[in-house]
Amino acid sequence: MSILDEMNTSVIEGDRDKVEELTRQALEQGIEVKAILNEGMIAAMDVVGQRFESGEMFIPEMIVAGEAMTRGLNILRPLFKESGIKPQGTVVIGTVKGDVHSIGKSLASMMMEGAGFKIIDLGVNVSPEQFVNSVREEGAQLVGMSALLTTTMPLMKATIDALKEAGLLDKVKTLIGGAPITQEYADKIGADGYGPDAATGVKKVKELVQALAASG
Amino acid sequence: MNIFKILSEQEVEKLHSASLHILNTIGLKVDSEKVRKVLEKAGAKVDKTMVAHFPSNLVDETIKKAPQRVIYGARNPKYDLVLEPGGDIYNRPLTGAEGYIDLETEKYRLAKMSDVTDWAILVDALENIDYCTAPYPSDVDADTRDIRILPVLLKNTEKHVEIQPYSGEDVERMVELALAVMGSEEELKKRPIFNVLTSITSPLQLLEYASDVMIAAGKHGIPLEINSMAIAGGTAPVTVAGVTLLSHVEVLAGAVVAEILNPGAPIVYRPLPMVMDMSSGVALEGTVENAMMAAAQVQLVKETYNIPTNMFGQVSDTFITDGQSMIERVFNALLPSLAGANIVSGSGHVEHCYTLDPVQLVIDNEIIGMTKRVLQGFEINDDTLGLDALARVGPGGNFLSDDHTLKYFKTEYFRPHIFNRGTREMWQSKGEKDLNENARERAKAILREHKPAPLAENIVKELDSIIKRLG
Repeated sequence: MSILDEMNTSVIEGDRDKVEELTRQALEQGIEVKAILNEGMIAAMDVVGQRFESGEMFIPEMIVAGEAMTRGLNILRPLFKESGIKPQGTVVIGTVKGDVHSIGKSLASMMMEGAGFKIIDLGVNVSPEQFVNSVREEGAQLVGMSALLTTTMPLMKATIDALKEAGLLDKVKTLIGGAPITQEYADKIGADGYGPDAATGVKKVKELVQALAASG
Repeated sequence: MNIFKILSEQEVEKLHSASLHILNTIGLKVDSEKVRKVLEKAGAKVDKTMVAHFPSNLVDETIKKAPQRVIYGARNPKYDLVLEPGGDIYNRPLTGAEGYIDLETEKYRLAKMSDVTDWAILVDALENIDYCTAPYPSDVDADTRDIRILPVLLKNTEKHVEIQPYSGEDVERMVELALAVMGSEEELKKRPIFNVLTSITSPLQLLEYASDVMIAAGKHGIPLEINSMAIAGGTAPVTVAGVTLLSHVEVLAGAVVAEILNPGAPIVYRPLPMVMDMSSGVALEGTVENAMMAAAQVQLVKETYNIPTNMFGQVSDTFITDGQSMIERVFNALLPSLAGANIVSGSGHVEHCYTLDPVQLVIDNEIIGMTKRVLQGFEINDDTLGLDALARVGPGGNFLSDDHTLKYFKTEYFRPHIFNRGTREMWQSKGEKDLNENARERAKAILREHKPAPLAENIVKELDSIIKRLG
């Protein structure tokens, strides 16, 4: 088994220490950063997403896979610039104001990171202004909003309205998720997409960011 | 009656000592500075991270101040409920659901204020549902709907009412409404016609709104149901033992704070441990393990502090009133009931607390009736054994017209309103209806025919003017 195959397996299995060690070894062996990232990590997280969707993998396993990848990514990241690697895009993500539920949001950001995106996680209880400021500062292509409470769902609309007012809606796509969220609600408030779960959410992010690149 | 013990003596002891250990070493994060100061003064140790640590003797002494006997008063005193060790078991529907299954279209939609009225009328009429809660409607101001539903319930049921308030100030408005009905603070304290529910946020956090609710409820003697919804694998250890322990500890922590803030305040132990579905992230409540957790917690409380308990029983994770719903709720209602809970709750709901269905409520009325029948037991003496009757009838006879039969046949057996019995032909001639159809018909009949005793006109006026002031 090649070292990248081994890394791929270790990410899927969520072996955090091993992924870190293999990342170092791969670099020592002179393997390209891009190859390590794409074959060892992103390809593995693709499998994780597929297995989650088909019911073979579960949330805790998905999280440790994400954490394992992050350990490797932390070593690779400082080398991105000199290797000419650009993230797939930048995603600003947070749970909307008034809502402190973090698990779903963190899961989604982990999967997005696993798909090669740069993640700016604003945490929970994030105001529309904070979203707007962060999108501006980071030049983000996508805003991900999470809400678990029906009482905080209107803050998703308020955030989209604030982005519109700031003149950012032609530069950034919006994606919403959370237990009470539906496609119907996404359509109603003018969100570009809705992710019923983290794995589907990542697919949507890829689609939306590609569409944005194609249009711009 | 208390015939089911899921824990051994040693297991109770282990859980109890682990609880005290957690309250002391890990503690409860308390957001309110004011409350932290009161706790510190009472003997808790508050550290720099806003976490209060409770020494074991403080926990013991404080919870002992909580009354073991709590009264849930009602508009009509015949519906007053007495929660006490060895007392009757009571039932209430779920509180706080935002979804509703429309009785006419049979489809899911968001709840409306008119559903609150219907819900109260149904509870008023259903003989085994002992007090009332409400759906949380989406067609009124979301910030004040907790207050707005109270007068609607008070107008449409004579039974005790429970509300889930959003703030301490909201509790004050509710007290104002209740005073309009009861006349004086003293009467309200004696027979509080509503109680409030508040939550510890897992793991181990007391948010400011929750302590505000505690303070306001305690001040007016309004009973407080202390809730924890720790989620196994999410906000609690994943094991049955782990989540049973944590949600128990959280309710105890809430009890300690409530009793330090208002010594002697009436409180009810109400944990709802949940289980994370690791495929969807949804918090489940209808697993068979949920039933075991509830039984364990009832036993644990009974054998330690013995304050009244309200356990979740009529629960389900499915989305409609179907077979899965029946399986889950029967397991979950029966185990804590057999363990000796004072209240088993959740009637009428499906979809893990999100949705209420009047059809399910009517069915739950039967399930809880059957549960109560089990707890009632059956007497064994010469008369109930029918020794004389058997001697009278003798070999080869029948008992149909015997006095013994006439004496007992109406009272000995639980008689459901909506079950299919008799012969297939009888069933066919009545239109081959299933349980849900029978229940739907009963719900519609109640809403058509049942007229709850109205409040006096001047009281209605006062309630309306208080609500009007909300804007």
